[in-house]
Amino acid sequence: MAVARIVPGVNAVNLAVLIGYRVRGAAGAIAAVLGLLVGPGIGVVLLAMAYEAGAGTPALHAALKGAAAASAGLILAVAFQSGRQLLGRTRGQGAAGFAVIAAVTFLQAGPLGFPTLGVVLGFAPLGILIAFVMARGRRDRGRG
Amino acid sequence: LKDDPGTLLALVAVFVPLSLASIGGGPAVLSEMQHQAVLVHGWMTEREFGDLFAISRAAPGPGALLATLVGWKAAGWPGALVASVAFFAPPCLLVYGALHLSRRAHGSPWRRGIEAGLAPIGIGLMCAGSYAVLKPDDTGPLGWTLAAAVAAGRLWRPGLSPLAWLGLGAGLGALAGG
Repeated sequence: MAVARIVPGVNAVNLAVLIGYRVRGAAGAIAAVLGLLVGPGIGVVLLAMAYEAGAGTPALHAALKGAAAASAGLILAVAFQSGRQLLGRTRGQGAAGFAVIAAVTFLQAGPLGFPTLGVVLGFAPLGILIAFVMARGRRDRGRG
Repeated sequence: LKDDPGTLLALVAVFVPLSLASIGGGPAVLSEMQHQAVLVHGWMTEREFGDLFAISRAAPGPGALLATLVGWKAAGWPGALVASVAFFAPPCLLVYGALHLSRRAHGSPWRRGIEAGLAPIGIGLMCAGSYAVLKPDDTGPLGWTLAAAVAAGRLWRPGLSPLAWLGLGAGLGALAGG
């Protein structure tokens, strides 16, 4: 499970690799990923073709706009939950550091429009460093 | 533009780096995907991107199939195939490699440190993705309000299917805009 979370990629796809691999090695991983993506991939393109056929209708665009806003809300809910989990496990300066990283990542990748890969590569070492310093602090307190 | 090998190469050049930046899942790279598809390459308008995003989230399967739709919009079915492979294959290879290594590293402080250290980046990127979708001029305060309300509702009633919230959003959108 953890591997699927720390490697970049779509969570469901990474899990499919993991489960397929456990069941039948490399072939299982390939089969699981294709099974997850091929059918829905063709389906979503067919839906988009149907949308293009009716793209002129303002009502269709209005409904999709509402659904897009709701989807953005669902993503925000995931972000909020992850934040709550992370802060539940982290204290003091480490929590403040994580909050600053999250906020600056948002500003750079969102309103400021910096390239996302650059933002990720810039902050990954800092975030991991903070996580290690926090873990070491916990171990030292445990010993003392 | 279709059938142009240059477009297929551009899709690879866009989606391979994106796939490696998707810390915390597909929504993390929404804003960059929009930027590349709309502003850099002009494969679609911001409005079309928003509509395709909604379609990808409402359709069965991972919402990240938006990558497939961007490829399709840029270069038809070949584009859909190329974008999908470019976006989904690199992380799969990484997971596969990590699975081999993790037999030894199970429960190591490395794994936990990386997981915790990357989490805030994923959170910031997800917020940026939501921002990218809500930003277009014609969305207005109604979209932001709806998104905030759905986020609160989702946290309040986690058991309710996400599709229920999408349906509610589509209904309200049709009422407001139709």
